[in-house]
Amino acid sequence: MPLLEARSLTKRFGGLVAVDGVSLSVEPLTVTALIGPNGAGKTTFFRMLAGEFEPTSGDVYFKGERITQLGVTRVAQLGIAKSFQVTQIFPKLSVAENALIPALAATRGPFKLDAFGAVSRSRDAHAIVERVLTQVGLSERRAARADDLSYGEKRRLELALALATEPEVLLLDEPSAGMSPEETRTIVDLLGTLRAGVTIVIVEHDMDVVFGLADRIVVLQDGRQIAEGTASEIRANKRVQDAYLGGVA
Amino acid sequence: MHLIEAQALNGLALGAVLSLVALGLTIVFGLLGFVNFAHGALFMVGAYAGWVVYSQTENFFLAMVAALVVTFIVGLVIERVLIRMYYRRPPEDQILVTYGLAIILVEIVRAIFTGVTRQMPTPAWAAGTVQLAGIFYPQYRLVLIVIAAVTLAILYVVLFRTRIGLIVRAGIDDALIVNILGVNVNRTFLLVFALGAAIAGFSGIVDAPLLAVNPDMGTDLLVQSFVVVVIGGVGSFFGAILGGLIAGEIISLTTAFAADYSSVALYAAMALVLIVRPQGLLGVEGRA
Amino acid sequence: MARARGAIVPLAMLVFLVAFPTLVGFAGGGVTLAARILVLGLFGLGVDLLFGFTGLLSFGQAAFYGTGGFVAGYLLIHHIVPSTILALAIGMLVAAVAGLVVGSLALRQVGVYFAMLTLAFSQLFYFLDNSPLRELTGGENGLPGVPRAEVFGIHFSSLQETYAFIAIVYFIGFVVMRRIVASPFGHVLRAILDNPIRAAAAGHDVYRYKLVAFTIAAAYAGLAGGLLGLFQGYLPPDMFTIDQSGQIIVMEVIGGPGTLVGPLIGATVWIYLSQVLQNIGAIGSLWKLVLGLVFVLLITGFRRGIAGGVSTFLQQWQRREPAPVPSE
Repeated sequence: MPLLEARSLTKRFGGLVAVDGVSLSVEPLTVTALIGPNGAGKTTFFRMLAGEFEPTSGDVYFKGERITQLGVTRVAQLGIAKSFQVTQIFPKLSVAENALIPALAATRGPFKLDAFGAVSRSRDAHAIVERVLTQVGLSERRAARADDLSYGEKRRLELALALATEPEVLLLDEPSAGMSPEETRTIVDLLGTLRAGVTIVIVEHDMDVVFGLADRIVVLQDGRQIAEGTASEIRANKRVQDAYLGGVA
Repeated sequence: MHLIEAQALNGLALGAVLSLVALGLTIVFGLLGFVNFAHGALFMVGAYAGWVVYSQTENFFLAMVAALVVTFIVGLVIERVLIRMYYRRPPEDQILVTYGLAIILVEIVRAIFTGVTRQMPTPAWAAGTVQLAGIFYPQYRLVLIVIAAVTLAILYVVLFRTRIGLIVRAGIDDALIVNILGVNVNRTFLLVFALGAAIAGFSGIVDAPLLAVNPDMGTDLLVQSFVVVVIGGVGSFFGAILGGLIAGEIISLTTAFAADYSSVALYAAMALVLIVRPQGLLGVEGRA
Repeated sequence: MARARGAIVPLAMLVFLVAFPTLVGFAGGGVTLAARILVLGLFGLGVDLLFGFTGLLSFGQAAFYGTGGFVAGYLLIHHIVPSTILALAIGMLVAAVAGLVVGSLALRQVGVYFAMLTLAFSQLFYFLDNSPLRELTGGENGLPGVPRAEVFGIHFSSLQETYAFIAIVYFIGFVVMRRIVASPFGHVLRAILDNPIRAAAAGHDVYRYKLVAFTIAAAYAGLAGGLLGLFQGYLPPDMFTIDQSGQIIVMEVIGGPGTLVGPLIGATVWIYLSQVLQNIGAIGSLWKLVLGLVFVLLITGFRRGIAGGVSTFLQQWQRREPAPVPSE
């Protein structure tokens, strides 16, 4: 049984069809990459997977359960985390507090009225914070205000926030967007170590990242799926070359 | 029993004014993206401007012009001095600053004119009653309905048949597109804010003969126009009109049957709309 | 060590509350003024949880202030409930339930819509108080004859004793609220203030957190309303007005959102401007204009209010670092 499955998802905004009947099947502990030119519908497709958008038609299944209309909070609680293309961190909180927020969601559930509890007693949550900050290499910066981080550090914190929900599926929307080649390599290395424990679906423009990581690649164009296969199959695909790779290479 | 008919007409008059006030609010909100909590205060400023001119000249037409001009200028000044600094700030800041502005406007008027309630006389040419299907009805209320209808028609033409209207409506949908089109957004925002202020001020003077003119007269109108916008749907021209008429009729007709509940019924209706159709009767879903 | 440090702020607050009537006295006020400021400060603790910690700008808090006050007052005036504490608690509970109902509707919207809806719902309460319920509430006349507090046989009958009673309740309210904002629950609220989209994406049920914050704020407002009746002996209908809702927001912003003591400072500024300026003949009537100008200046330039400004200054003074550029 696939871990995460999309069955012919379609999303219309008024007259515009952003995603048109795209299906996807993700096996556990694999890396799936979603590529395509700008405006191909990758981000919209991702947002439907994460429960941020309800599809106009089609369904999303997680472990065989239909999760189409659950909404982002419950999808996150089930174990699907998304990192955002445009960094969504908590600017006024410290780095450690940033990571604590999703960690609290992972350990406390969607809602808990522990208004008289002490944060220091949430040991599980603090353990998660330590682990993810180490993973993304931000332990040294734990006390800094998130707003004061450099761009690359903010991107890593973005990843840490997704990891701290302890997800089974990690949806990464252009994790290397705007990063230097060196910073990109750090991210790729990190994803290389993470893939042993979590299923990854990634939207990415950097083809080196895609071909280096992905077990399977899905190509979208104008909201439709035009190809699917392994890295070498995609490289050899004439249609993909015409539509996309040719333009980049 | 002609009470019901009379109350229905009253509701129409009240609804016409509410539509007008709410339209000013919606236009500004639609383009500039924030609710002007000083809208009620501008309504009051318009009423005072008109009252001053009327008590000098006894000319109601001049009073209307004065209300329009004064609030338009006040709108220009406020936008240049304060509002433009707030376009990029969170909605909460925008609400707070316009609320602060409302306090300032109310207190300036109170300082100049004291808090004493003034009477705005009904213009002599519309003072009497007319016989209408067997009931005697105050003529001015009918005039008010006509004035509001004409004003709404003019605004319709301006918004839907002119270039500036196109920009405003495009801005309601997407301020970014307006930017890309290379329109001078700065000046457009300025004019739209001042237009919203002038609509409030104009409503203030035409409604003044039915109300007591005092510095706090705008508060109730502000909240009622919020209700109208919630019922009708934000950013919708006809939503403002529909919402205004519904609100006017609810208040007036409930007054006929259960006066104690007239205002209560209005807010209950708003809650109902909110539950059944959160975007408002004619509003588009997903605009917030 | 951490425990000892944690006790410093409550101790300082205790000392302040004891000294406050004297301080107010130096400045030409009386114990009534001090009590009034504390009542508003307690009211403001809830507003601060809502706006300063969760980012929810409600223009309808007067509805709960009035509800709590009139319920508690009515029970005491008609001797339906013999105990002051019980009457206050019932008033608080009814206000909280009202908050739950209003919140569950208004929180379906965000930003300006939320603010507009809270304002409209509070008008509903105002008109209920004024018309259909006037047999109970006294309508435009309000409710006179609220007896002074009596707890376990102790009578808080003089003004000073009433101040003491209010100060005790404020202190408890303050300590409880400190606890709430420091809890995991409070952390989630702060996350919602900072970035509600991410808080939801992290797996927090943002709506329910907001609703509970709204309910707690309503409970605080209701308790404060009950206390107002105790020391005034009278409940005015203007507790329900838009002006009352606006007043507490202005106090919150002037004092400093997210500081807990902000509303107390804001209330002091407000009451002093009104009382002190009012006695200066020529400009007396202009006090509220001055207040409006100060308010607009603060929002435009000093978003963190007086308390926020002072704490930023102290932090920088301690670190001797150059002032950070405001992010706005």
